[in-house]
Amino acid sequence: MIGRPSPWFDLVRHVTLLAGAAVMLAPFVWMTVTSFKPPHEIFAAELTLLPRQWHAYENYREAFTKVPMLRYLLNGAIVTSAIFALQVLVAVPCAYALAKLDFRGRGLIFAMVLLGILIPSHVPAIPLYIMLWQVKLLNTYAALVIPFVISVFGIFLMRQFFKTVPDELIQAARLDGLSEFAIVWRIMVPAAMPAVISFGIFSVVAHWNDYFWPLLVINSRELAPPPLGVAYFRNEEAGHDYGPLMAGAVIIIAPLVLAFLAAQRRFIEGMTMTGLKG
Amino acid sequence: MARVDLVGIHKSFGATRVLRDVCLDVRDGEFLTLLGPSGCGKSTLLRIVAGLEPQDAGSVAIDGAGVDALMPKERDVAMVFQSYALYPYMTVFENMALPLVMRRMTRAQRLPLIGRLMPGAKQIKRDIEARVREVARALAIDELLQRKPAQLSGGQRQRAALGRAMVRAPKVFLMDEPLSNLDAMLRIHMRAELADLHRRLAATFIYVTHDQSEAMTMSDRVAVMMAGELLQVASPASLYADPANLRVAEFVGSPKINVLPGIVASSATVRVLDTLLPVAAGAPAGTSLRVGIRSECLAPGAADGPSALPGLVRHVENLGADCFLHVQVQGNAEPVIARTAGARAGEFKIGAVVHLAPDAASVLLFDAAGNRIATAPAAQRMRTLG
Repeated sequence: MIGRPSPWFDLVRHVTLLAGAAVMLAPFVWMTVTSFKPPHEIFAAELTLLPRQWHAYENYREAFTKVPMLRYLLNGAIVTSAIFALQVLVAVPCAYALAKLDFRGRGLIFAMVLLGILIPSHVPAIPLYIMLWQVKLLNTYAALVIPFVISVFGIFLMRQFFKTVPDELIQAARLDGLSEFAIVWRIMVPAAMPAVISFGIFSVVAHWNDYFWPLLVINSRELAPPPLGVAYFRNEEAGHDYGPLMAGAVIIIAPLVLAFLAAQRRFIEGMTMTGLKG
Repeated sequence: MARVDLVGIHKSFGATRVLRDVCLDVRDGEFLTLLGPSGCGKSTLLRIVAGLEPQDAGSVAIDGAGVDALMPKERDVAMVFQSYALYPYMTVFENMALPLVMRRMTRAQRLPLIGRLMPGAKQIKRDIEARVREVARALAIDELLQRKPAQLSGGQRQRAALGRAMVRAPKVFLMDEPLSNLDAMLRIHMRAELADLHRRLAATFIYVTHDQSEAMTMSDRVAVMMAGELLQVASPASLYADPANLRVAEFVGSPKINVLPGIVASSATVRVLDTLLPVAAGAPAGTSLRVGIRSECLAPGAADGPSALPGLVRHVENLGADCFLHVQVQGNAEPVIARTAGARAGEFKIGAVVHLAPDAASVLLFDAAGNRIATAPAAQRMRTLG
């Protein structure tokens, strides 16, 4: 491109993008302001952005006391961090082997990984459920974690990233006396940190927000992750008390929003470097 | 310090033959350069010595002991790469210390935090630090130890990569075009520094380059490789003056050697184009030849000598100390290049006739296949020996 685009083009572009951003943000904004309003304002005929009468304390107190919200958040943290840690433990060595080691059948295995990405997670849900039932793991943390330990998407993402690490770096490490495992953890992972972090965000967001799988395998309330917890909340309130419900929703997405803001730059790096669009 | 013996190395990548029956003995403490155009297999050969690439056939021995079954880290060789291959998120100190940490410390001692409590870890760490500092001082990078590679200039990265190779004091240093990413001035400077380093360490160096000036200035011996074959292994001086075949003669020397068509006229003369030269060829009369004459062996002059090649000056390159004349000689498509003193540049006008008198004693003769044919002094020597 030579020279700057015309100011009109700039204006149109920004207006379009702002409109898109507004559409994306509106539900979140509405959720947040609703969580501050008393019931009669929520059901009032006219729309107001800010509550006339602040009801935030009552709503949030109810969200924390009616159901064990902290317990749900803790469950979410335990499950998502266990899933992510195990996913990395599996995906990183697999990705290294697929990207940098030469062995018979590598192409076939990689094709199977790609095929795995194409299969929707709901398809194997029933076989997985039956397997977990047979090994008597239903209604445990393990039931929430085990099905997601092998992430083909994670393998693919890390493999693409490892491809860009120069071979000479690995050869230097071999001569310096590092074992293949040491190369994976001491050379490849630090070099691919943006990919690890962006994969972490994908993984944590997906499993923090997952409603479908916990609904199938969890019965005990003490084991429920946040989305299931909010659903229990909603059932109990019979869908009338939106203030505390929205407060609950704000509480469960807050950790994700904060984590995203903290890692935003890395996240975008990871996306642009792999050429993947969310 | 070690000898490296390569016997009958073959290597193919798929259908492409990269190395064909390469045999090479590198002497203890020698600076040997593998010289060849890109894609000739020299880097692959170096990687085979390092153990990074398995050979299809043949064997590698270091100090007489076969190393074919050994992993790269067990061969006690260190390599300096063209891209330096420094670990990007580690400081220079950590880069240089890593080979020692991996070799001297046990798995438990290497653990973060807990490792410090293991018996002996502190002492080993102190020794490693002392060694890294010693090497860094020798390379004049001791001020840069806490920097990351990205914060270093090309020359500094080069030294850090050398330092990482040196800390272990390996038996053999392998260098894969280590200077080609540097700018021209620094490359010439590093040439002298590397040669000096080799003298100080007295270790065996195997150095890969496509740059003949690097090969000629630093090496004890140069191995010229082309298309996966070793053409000649000799000292830089004899490679230049006494090449085994035309391909070596053409690859070594700048400007490129002049090659003219010729024929053996009699037992004491060779006809080059239309000029008779007093050269005794070791071949029967009538044998067609390719005659190689280096630019400095052609004396340009105005007078028509008895055995001078006449031609027209096409171009004059005055470099100050030297002056290169590009002369169009009748019967030869390529211009012939002659070297003379820069002070004489004014004598030669473009388009003027010039006579090039070859130094008959240093003319190189090759047969039609490009193999060297002995000339008078060599032929005489062969007779006395026979």
